[in-house]
Amino acid sequence: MNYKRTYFVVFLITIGFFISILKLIYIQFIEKDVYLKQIKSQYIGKEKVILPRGTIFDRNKRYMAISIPTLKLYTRPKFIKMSDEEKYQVAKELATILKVSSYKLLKKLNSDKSFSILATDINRSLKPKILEIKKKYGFAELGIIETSTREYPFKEIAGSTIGFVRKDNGLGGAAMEYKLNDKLGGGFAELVFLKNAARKPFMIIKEPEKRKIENAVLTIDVNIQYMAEEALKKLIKERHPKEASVIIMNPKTGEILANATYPNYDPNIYWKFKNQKNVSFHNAYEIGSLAKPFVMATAIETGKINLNQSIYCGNGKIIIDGVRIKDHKPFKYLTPAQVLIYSSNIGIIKVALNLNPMDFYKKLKDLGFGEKTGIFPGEASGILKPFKRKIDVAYASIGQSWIATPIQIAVAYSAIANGGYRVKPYIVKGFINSSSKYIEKNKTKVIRKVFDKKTIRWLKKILTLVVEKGTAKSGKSKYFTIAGKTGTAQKYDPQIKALSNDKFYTWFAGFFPVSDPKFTIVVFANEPKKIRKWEQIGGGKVSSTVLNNLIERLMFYYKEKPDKKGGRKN
Amino acid sequence: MKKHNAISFNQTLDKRELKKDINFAKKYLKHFIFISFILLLIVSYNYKNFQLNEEITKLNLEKQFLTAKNFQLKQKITSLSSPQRIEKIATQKLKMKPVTYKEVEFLEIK
Repeated sequence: MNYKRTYFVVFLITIGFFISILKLIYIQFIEKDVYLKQIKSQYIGKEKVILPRGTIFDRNKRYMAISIPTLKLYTRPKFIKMSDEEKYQVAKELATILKVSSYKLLKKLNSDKSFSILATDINRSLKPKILEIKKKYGFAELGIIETSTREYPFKEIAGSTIGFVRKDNGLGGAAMEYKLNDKLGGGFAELVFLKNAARKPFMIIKEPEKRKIENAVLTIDVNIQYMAEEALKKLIKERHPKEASVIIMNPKTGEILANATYPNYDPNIYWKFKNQKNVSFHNAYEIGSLAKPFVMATAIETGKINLNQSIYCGNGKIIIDGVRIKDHKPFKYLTPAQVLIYSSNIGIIKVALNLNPMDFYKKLKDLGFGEKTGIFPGEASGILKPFKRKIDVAYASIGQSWIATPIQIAVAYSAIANGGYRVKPYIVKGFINSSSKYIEKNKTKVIRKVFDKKTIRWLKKILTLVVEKGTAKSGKSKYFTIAGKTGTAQKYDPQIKALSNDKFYTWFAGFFPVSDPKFTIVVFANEPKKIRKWEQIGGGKVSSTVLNNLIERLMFYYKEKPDKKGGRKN
Repeated sequence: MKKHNAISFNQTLDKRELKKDINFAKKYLKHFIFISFILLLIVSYNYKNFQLNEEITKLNLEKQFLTAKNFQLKQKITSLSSPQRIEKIATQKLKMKPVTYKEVEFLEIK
């Protein structure tokens, strides 16, 4: 064997290897800036392509959010080789098809930019016509990008519940669109426009990892949602509150059928709205007298009350731990039923003070107060802390000093309506594939039993009387039995450093028809204004506008027969 | 004479070579036919494939166009059937009024 030759070949290979390494070091470190500059000079532009996303349907499979395939038209004005006359003709013909100003198009064609977007959100069926123009004028620098646009055909109906898809990244930015990002897919691919050594432009597509796209079906019924929003609009027009909401829920299943909020927004133009909150989920408020049935329920179940006894209501005043609490009216002796019907603060405080504070706290906890339902992004949990002093119990019994979200109220009152069970509310009914078959279906989930049969029977009877002749009588229906409770909580006024006498949170929470409750309703308003100067703001009066405009309409939609004596057809 | 002999020798040689060539061709004729047949098959397959690809591209474009149109129509149908629009037409154009339970008769099926 000739070792000399072998050594020589090995030597040559090693030298070649070292030269390659040295060249790499030279490129990576010494000449780095030169090469970076060279790469940058090849770069023309970058454009995002929004990927299609799964559809969101309402419970009757009507399109609430849909990704429409669209086109984006771009050009590289710097590289256009056409006469001015030709450019003018192209701009004119494109403008006719795209329904945009030909002047603006011509301006873009005449600019000396490397990359320019001519038009976005173009109907994809126009592609053949655009290609025809491209061919006719030999317009090689006219490019078409296939993208998609998220559309919400019902505009602002359920806007704050559906949410929106961000224009910049094609992903859900709020509400259910955000919550369902993992299921609905979407996102964006990036197109990078570069030019090669011969200065000819070319394009690279950077696609994200492909995700499975599913279609979501919500529990919302667009028609009921519309009815709720129309009723809420009347309340807004009449009372000009800062915020308001109406929730309609099926008390037996936990399905949310409608969630009307004010402020609301049109997801098609979400960027034009400052406030994209959903009042029913994102904020927690003091619930006022809505807490009273829960005090009574605790008292009944712990045997701390005789339902036939009379409670002395202190003629409208009581002093606890040195703090004076007033009633909205001076009452002397009331039965437990009357305490709820006329919503006496002193009466309920006396019942609450008789309870073991932990029992009352546990009842509220069991009902879901102080914890998120977990069905909506950014949801507030409310605040509920154990009651240490007598005054804490007193305030808690009249719904002051602790806060809850409207959805928590809907869940708690649904428990009264459905026979004592706390059900988990839900907005997503399930997910379907492209052939409309369910691939995943959400079911009713009972969390726990929270009320006894005896308590439910009594509460249903008394809450019906609250609407028939108590604080909510202005909202009663001629044809249907409604059970419910009004609530009015004074707002804390930082200016006077005390509870305000003219700023309130007003509530109504109830269910109907009482014999077989099909709907739970919660009406909330933050700082509703007085209609008349001498009027006293209260949950009953404020909510009556919604109740009067919604309940019969809703029952008519479900073709329900009146259940009330006095209704003409019964 | 020498020249004549040389020509006749060459002719005999040509004939012999031709015969040899023909025999050779005869020997491989089957192979030649087989290869030609296979080549013909490949060419026609490619041609057919090309035609099919062209058709697939065309159909894909048509599918894309129809899908886009379908989505747009779905969106349009939804917008047209929106309760907002229906209520507006019913109350403003057709001067309809909401029905109350006062005007409803329930038919009992026994």
